[in-house]
Amino acid sequence: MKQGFTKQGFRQSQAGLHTWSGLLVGWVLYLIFLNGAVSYWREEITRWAQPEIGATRNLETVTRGAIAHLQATAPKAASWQIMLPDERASGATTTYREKGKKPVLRGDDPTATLIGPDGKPTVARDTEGGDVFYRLHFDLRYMPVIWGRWVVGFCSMFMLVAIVSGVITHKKIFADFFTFRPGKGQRSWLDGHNALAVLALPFHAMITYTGLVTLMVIYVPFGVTANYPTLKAYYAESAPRLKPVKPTGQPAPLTDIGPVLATAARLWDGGQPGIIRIDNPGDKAARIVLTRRASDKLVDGRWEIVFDGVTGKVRSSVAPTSAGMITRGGMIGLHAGRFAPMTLRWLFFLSGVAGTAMVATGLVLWTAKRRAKLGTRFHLGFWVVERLNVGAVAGLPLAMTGFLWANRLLPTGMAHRADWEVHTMFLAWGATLLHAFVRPPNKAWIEQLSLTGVALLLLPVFDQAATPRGLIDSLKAGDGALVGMELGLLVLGASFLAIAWRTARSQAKRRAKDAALVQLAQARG
Amino acid sequence: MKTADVANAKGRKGWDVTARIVLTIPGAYAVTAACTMLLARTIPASRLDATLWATIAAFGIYAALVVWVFAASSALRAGLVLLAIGAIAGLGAMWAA
Repeated sequence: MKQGFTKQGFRQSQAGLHTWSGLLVGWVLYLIFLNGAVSYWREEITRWAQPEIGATRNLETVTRGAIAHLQATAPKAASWQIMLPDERASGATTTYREKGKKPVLRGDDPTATLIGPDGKPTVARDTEGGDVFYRLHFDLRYMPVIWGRWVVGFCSMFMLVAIVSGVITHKKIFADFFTFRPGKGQRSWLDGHNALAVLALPFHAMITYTGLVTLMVIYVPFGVTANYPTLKAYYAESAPRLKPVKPTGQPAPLTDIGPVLATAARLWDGGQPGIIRIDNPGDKAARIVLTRRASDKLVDGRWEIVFDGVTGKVRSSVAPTSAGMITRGGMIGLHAGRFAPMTLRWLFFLSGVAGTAMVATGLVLWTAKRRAKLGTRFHLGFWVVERLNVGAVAGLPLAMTGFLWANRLLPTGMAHRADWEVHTMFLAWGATLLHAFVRPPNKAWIEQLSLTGVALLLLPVFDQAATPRGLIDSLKAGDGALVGMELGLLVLGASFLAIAWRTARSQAKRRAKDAALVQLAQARG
Repeated sequence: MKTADVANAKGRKGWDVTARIVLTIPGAYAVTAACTMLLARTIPASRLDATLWATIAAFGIYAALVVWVFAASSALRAGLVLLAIGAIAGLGAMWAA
């Protein structure tokens, strides 16, 4: 092997690449990993954030209720749409489009109505729920979506580089798996970083690569430009749209939805629709389009069945057949884990937590290594990184807990309530950064970690006292998702307090050791 | 080693790292683009499948190029090899059009 740029060979050349690419993108990666891991509970968090509505048990009841509501409120609309919940979510959302109007693609649709589990229109507090963490994971916030996606893509690409260079740097990858030497400062941080990285290495490699694939045409459009005259031509081939149908003007009643759902379940091997769209309702040219939900299949892609809205007969159907689309869809499906049953979902989540901890220990390791070298000398770069680490690693979870508290405490009638929940999260994050810069880092770590722990532990207490769905209520109702949320908050809170306590103890030990060394030096000199 | 030599060596190393970063971020990305175009036009499959597989492969190609840029014995050498791969892939992609 020829010598690398450190003049020490291939492995060392990769060590430099690993350290610097890791630090460059570390804080953003921490945000991406943490919010990605949390997003495996996106539906559960949304359910928790809207305690007004309970679990959906019967899809047909909700679907019939949604159609009845649309029939009553928008009988002359050009098109109706019903977003149905999967087993983990709650409540359906109906929207409609008036004749001659364009559909609302992004943001709030003023026609949106929430349909409760009993099939009747209902109201719940205005919140983004679990979607806030899901969006933050790849769009970031307060900037055009496309900027956020490029920042996330850039950082993910260097995550992939850091994984490859990290594997090359670590010569004893198997031994690292079983090595942990606690209470030894820098050595322990390195052992922890290695163990977390190696333990879930297949997950880290998979999640980073498939994450890049989810938005690949944005990042690498050159395959498309090589083969298609325009991006539109590519989409027309990869995801062809249904041609619109014109209404005839002759009224005709809509077919019963029950047999339509039954036919879809038969054609999809038991699969269920996630979206039902009804074009030209009440007209002879009515059409019902069922889109299969993501949670009952691995491959992400479009499964669609078109029914005649009057006779209820199947007119056409599509499913991914191109090998390339299935490769891409399989990778996206693996990333998002929408198909994952509970056991696998937990595994995904815990691996995501391991990834978050890997990035966090990597960031702390960077400072631990340099603190040992610098001693008491002042170095501006080090000073800033040490404080940013506190504000990022301890501050972000505190801010996210702030979002949960805002969800509970902001008045339900407040204007732009959902936005203010998110603003509260970012204001809290700003406060943690400020706190990290005015307090000594060792104190700031302990204060922020313990505040997060206490704030998380108090949430279930508040829920029990002030909402109809506290832990005991959900246990009685057999509502597994909400029991899981409340217990999860308790375990997380206890974990943060435990980490804070460990940090305080190891700092005390270090101070005692330093004092002993000073005494020894004085006794000698 | 004299102080001037140390300063020179440091300056050289700083320049070397800067050069490699430039080679990585715009350089290796451009070469990846050329390789993706070549693959999209030459993988023996339908137009759609070839496009998708080439795009999926692009991230692996880029990661491998970055690792190699930092492992090469000099930035100059890394730059020349990148240029050669980029030129071959680019010409190949044009030829395959």
